[in-house]
Amino acid sequence: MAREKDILSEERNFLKENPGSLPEGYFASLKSRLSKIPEKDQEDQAPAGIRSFAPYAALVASFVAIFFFGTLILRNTAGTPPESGHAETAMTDTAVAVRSHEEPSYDEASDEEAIEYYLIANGTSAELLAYSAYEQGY
Amino acid sequence: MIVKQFSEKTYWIIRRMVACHEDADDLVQETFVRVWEALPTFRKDSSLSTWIWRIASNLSLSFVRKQKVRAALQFQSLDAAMERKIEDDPYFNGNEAERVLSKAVTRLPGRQRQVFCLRYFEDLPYEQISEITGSSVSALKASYHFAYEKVKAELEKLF
Repeated sequence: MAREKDILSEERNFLKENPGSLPEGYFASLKSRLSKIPEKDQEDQAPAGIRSFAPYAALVASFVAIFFFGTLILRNTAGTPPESGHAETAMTDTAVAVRSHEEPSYDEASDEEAIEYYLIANGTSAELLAYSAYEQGY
Repeated sequence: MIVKQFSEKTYWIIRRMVACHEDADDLVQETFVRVWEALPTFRKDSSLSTWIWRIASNLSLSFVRKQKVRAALQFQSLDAAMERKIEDDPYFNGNEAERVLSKAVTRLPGRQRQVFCLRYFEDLPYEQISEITGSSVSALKASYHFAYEKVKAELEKLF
């Protein structure tokens, strides 16, 4: 197959030539310049295995750090009970007050009230309760 | 010995990729430092020259990609920066066609640039380029074809 002629192939021998010059004695000085580069301290360099593992270790460490600080921040900002004595006492008092208002303790209730609660809880009808009270003379 | 034997060709492989003497100088030094460090682990799967050029070529490709990322982060055009670099390079003494060719090469995507430089300028066979780049011969041929057409189009504008 006849290849299409083009400038790139026609002038290849010319264009292939290196179009650049070099500083005087560049390649002769290259060796001496290379020898001046300080050799890397082998002790400072981690082994290849550790070097390849390092990015993954860094990734895991960053996730752990994010988790740790995230948890710390959430603990400090979310509604956990404060450790201060005043606040705790205040909350406990409020809770007791609310509970005592809504449902009196059995120690404070009379026997009649206790029986009434028991009967209501067992599904005794209002008529039967009234009759029972009448029979007992209340 | 290795430096003496391979430095010139290695330098030009790198310089064709990065287009400027300053960058090529840094990369050629880095290449030989890497070669020196990795020489005990050289397994002789390929020839020493192929191994050295693989290091050089990959370093150059990595350099080109970093340049691209850096330019993108600074919202600059890499093509314009590369053209300026070629214009300002005191060690570039080619004619207009060579200048256009160098600029066209720097506009190629990294892999295409690598294949084009190794094939067109260095005349390396596809099999050796395959060993250097780690790509299949068919993929290299396709990359070279695309690169060739792009560079040719740029040169045709000149003539």
